[in-house]
Amino acid sequence: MKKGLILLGLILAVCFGAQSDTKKLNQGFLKKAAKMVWNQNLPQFNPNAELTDTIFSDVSAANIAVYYYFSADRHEMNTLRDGRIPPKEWRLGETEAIFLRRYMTKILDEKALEDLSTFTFEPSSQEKIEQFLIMEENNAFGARIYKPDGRVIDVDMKQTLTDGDGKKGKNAVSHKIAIPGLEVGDVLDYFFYTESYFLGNSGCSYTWKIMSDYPSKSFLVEAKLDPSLTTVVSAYNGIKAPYRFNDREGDVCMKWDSDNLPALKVPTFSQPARQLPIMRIEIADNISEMFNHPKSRRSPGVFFNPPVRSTLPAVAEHFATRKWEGADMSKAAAIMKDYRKANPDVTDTEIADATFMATRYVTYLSKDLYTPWDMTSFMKDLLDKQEIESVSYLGVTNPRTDIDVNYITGYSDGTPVLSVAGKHYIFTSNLALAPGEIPPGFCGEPFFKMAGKRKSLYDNFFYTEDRLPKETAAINSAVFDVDVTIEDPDESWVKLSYDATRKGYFKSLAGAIAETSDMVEAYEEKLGIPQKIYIDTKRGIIHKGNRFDKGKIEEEQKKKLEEIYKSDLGIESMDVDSLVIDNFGFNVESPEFRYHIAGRVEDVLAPAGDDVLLNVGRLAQVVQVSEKERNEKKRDISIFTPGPYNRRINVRISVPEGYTVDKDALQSLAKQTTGRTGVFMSQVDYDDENGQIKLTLVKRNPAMVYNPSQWDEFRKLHEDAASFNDASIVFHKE
Amino acid sequence: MKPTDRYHIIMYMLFSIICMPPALRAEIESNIIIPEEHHIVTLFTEGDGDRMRVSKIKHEQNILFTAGRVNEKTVVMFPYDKTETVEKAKSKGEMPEYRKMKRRGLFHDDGQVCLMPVSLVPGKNTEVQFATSTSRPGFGSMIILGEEYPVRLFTITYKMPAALKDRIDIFERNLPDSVEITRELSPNGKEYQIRLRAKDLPELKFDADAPCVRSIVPHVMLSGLFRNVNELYDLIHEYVKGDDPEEADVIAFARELTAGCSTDMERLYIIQDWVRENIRYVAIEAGDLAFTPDRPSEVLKKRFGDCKGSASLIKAMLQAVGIDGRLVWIGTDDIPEDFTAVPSPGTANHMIAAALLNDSIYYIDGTVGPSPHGYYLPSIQGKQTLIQNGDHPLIHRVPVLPPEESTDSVVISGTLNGSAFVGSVTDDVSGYYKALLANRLRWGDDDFKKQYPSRFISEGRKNFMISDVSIFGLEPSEKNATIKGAVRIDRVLTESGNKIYFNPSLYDMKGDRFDMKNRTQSGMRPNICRIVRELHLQLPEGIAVEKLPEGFGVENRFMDASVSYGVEGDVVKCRFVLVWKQRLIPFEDLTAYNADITKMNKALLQRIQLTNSNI
Repeated sequence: MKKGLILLGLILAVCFGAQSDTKKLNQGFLKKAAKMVWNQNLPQFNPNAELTDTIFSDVSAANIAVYYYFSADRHEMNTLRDGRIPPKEWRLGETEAIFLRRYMTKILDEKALEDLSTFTFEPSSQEKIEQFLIMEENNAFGARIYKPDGRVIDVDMKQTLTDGDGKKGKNAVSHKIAIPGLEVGDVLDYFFYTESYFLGNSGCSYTWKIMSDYPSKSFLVEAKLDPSLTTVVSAYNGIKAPYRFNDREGDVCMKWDSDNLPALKVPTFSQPARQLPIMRIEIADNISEMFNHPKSRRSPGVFFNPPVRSTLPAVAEHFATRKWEGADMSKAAAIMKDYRKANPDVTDTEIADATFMATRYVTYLSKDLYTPWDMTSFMKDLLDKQEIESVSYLGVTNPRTDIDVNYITGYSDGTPVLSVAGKHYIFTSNLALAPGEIPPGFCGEPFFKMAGKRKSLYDNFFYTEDRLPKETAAINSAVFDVDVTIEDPDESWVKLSYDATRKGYFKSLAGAIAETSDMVEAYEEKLGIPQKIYIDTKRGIIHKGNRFDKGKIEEEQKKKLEEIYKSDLGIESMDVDSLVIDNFGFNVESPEFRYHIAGRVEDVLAPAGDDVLLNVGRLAQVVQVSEKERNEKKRDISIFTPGPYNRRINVRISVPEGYTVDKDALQSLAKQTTGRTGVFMSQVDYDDENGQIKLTLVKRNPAMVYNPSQWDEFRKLHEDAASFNDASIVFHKE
Repeated sequence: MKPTDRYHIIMYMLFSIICMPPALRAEIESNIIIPEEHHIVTLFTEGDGDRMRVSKIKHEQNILFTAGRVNEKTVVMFPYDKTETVEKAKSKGEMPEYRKMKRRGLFHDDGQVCLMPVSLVPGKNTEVQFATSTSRPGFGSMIILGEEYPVRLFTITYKMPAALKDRIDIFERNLPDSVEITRELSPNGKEYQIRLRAKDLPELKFDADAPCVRSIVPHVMLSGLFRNVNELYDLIHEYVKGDDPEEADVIAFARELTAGCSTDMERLYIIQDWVRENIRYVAIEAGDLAFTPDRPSEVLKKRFGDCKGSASLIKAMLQAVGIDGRLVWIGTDDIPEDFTAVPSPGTANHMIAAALLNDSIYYIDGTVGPSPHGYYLPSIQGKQTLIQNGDHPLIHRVPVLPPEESTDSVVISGTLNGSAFVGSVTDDVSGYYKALLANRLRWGDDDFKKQYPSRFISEGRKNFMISDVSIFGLEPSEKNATIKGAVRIDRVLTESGNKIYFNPSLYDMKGDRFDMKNRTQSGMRPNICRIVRELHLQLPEGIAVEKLPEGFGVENRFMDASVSYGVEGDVVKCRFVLVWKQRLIPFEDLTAYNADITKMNKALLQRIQLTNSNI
């Protein structure tokens, strides 16, 4: 067997793609897995275990035991599976891994019975490149029921149903089993078992949530790893390090356990990726040389929470290896050339801003799909082509909704960033983001950056650490100027129109409001692109009013409008006459998203004899308290808000003709609550001459994170602000 | 049972990533247009004379698409199942993709879908062809006239041997006046054809809270595949005739369960309650399982089943204790027709059980969870039933229960404490509301169970806080369930000097209005019922009534509603009664109906004027 032939096979495979297939359910494999699991000698799996801890009271179900097991073994491969012998100069390995998740759960009510009465598991699959089996995954599920009277019933897996794709539904996409005979009071012992095989360095990873929806009496994680593989174990958010030792066979073993682990409940105002325990394990065969290895690969061994600097070379290499096909780069370069010609005196910052927009425009309309990594690298190349004086840096960071960048173990864990002349460019799907504007969640986050031409980064691993600018309440602001008109005090509706100005993270709603084609056209105008010349017709770009179902469009519009006015003012229902967008917010000079909405709101004027009450609280709400927040009396973890912000609603109400406003009742609406967790303020002003009432509502959130001990204060501020939501203004008939 | 009707083409966008919702605009014109859509339905027969029967139906679809203004790429979806064979799936330059069709509420079935990509260019037609055949005629012959895009020309041609001329026809519903229908024999007299031709069909649209699709969309079905209900019954009855080798287990269990009962009614109810409490609804409807119930002993052993499974278990358990239990085919409110009008398997989409006892028929739906005795869900009330009865079915109807059978009556009593109202609350519920409460409490986790009674009473009013909740009478044998608790309603007062405006906040009817913007279809309410809200305000010392709001009421075909206010001693009493009398609100009545709701809601917004002599 010649190495050349294998390579030819691989080249063909690259040309024609790997072939991935799912397999029929193999009852023999299910039996084998069940035998292995049921024969485990784990004393924790005792169906009669007492559940005495308070964490087990008032719950739907309780885990008596949870067990995760992972093992991986690498074998040097002297013979391929088809019997052929690979060239001796190759180091080719095959890895076999086992991953087991086993739960023994006592069912305590119908909710748990419903939740645990049906299970779905993945079909087994394999992937081949030509004749080479490069990946195989065999999955099994099994369950047994322990009845209170001592009976033990194994679930007959022959009852498994298979959903499949294909003309006759034969290509399995999932297996399903309904657990027969399960009742409240039973103990269900069930498992998901996977045997994986991979050839060479294809690798695999698993993320484990070290918590369950139910409290767990015993939670045990064990791993047995071949030291010739590269294994990265990451544990975040306060998980203790696993106990590590070598067994007689020289494998690296790890053990992690915890007793009486409470149920996972995600509280309001939290960031699960930063606050809830997660464990992750990734394995790779970095010795085999069948496929291209990244130069930056880790050496064999087990790495626990490796420092980010050991991951940064992989980030650099990923940047360096991006390639552009087709004409997108030349289109973007042409756009920038025209832009520079039309704007000869622009600064480096202005060039970088325009480059960011040109990158977004071209990659967005391209027939190829660009990841943020591609877009960032594309922008870097486009910028380098223009040879500006300012140094640009490629870097990596992460938003607060993801793990801290200091914990990433591969480039794909992070988010790319490009820094130029003190500004930072991050690509997200929100087209309303202005160039250099830090997207929500990234402000104040650390990042690692490096200088140099993109392609030179292969060998340049010298990152410097920096931090993205912190956000302020001024950056994240929303202002709503509302006019309320009572046309007929005998009716129960009012006319309402308002101007909304959203900045910073409040702009995230822009995508829901603005039509993409309008934004694309605005990009063209800003960059001086003759309209639509770069639209790739193959992609079928959608232009105005060009949608598929009238009924669905109407329904979507209604839902989106509901989302908008509810988010703006807390109004539950409004008959909207018009929505006009004044500014998309992607201009550096005017980064606010501005729009105007007008319509009619029903059921807000209440008669009281000859008097009329306007329930203004239903038209202007700066805070709404959810039922979940209201019911969270205790707080154990930090309070994460979206960021510091200012939110302001200015309401103007003309006193209806023939009526006077009750000034005492009006004055009683003025309130203020100030504390360490923010400010709520409602101010009133009455202009006697013009018969106009002015109401100002302000909610200020000064910080992003608060201590758990501040929860009561935090909630009180919200409740005080929400108390305005029932406020009324009284008008007396003259 | 599975709905076998064919909602034949649904479209969706392939590149949804670039299809952000559009801003509000007055008129939206579809870019995609169907210049022509042709259906040919060919009926094949076997046997002669009276024995002739339709043995196979082939359905060919030929659809032309074009784009009106700009390029667009879409995917056409053709659903089918294992009773059908896909004979053709073609779109120029594209390969069809076959996927599993996921249907809501079904754990497993055999629904598949053929996805056909279509690239559209303005001014050019793209043809899509799809053909299926079935050897189970009668299990799905519905064709909807129209698409989600405008159709310029739509034709259907039914072809069959001339011998079927006096037997097979079409059943039509909601067809526009412009549809031309012709029936003729071929020149050689061998073939009989029924042709439909429609021009300029607008996009199909489904308004929110509209009646079922079949009662609003224009569609046709073959009629005569079953000469009458008896012939339909002959077929579907075959599916339920299987023996249960382990029926002894069911008999023993049923007898043990009912051992303490002294009457058949007690036995009936204890069996009904046990099945509803203990048999989980898991629908497995692939192949014959769509029509054949699981064996009663299997359902009993597994503790789960679909509607047919629970019905067959109920029937077997009833028979085991000497009650005449039967299976019942029924179409829920998703199907507007009666079996007698449209004798087709597609007229049924559900199975329940019945007990024939003391000259009465008691229906038992095993899938509804804990529900009060004698109560039927709105979805089956008034629906025609086909009751298993030897060789000839019984035709009957589920009774329509009066509104009083589903009552939700809340009485709140208390006084003022600062700007809040504090006191106690009692909520008595029956019928629909009791079933809702019992089911929600049963299927919720502990946190939900704690919060739900409060949510149930608060009805979305955020200033309501209910505590110290206790619930009685959840057992199905009790007609009413009662929630009792302490209530605090914050910010009920607007104060000005010594004047107080009290907001009794009895009920909010705004959710009962139908959105009329671009609406073209009738409205459908969820149920008929009676709602009562009472608030008794004990006036604190120094506070007196200055003026009570005026009472008000509206009556129309659909509802009776009234609100009244009075004073008894130092207690202000407010009472609101609402009776929903009819579920269907025809389109032509919707504006007047909404106006009545608005008037009634305005009356409910009224404030009570009080004076405070303590100031």
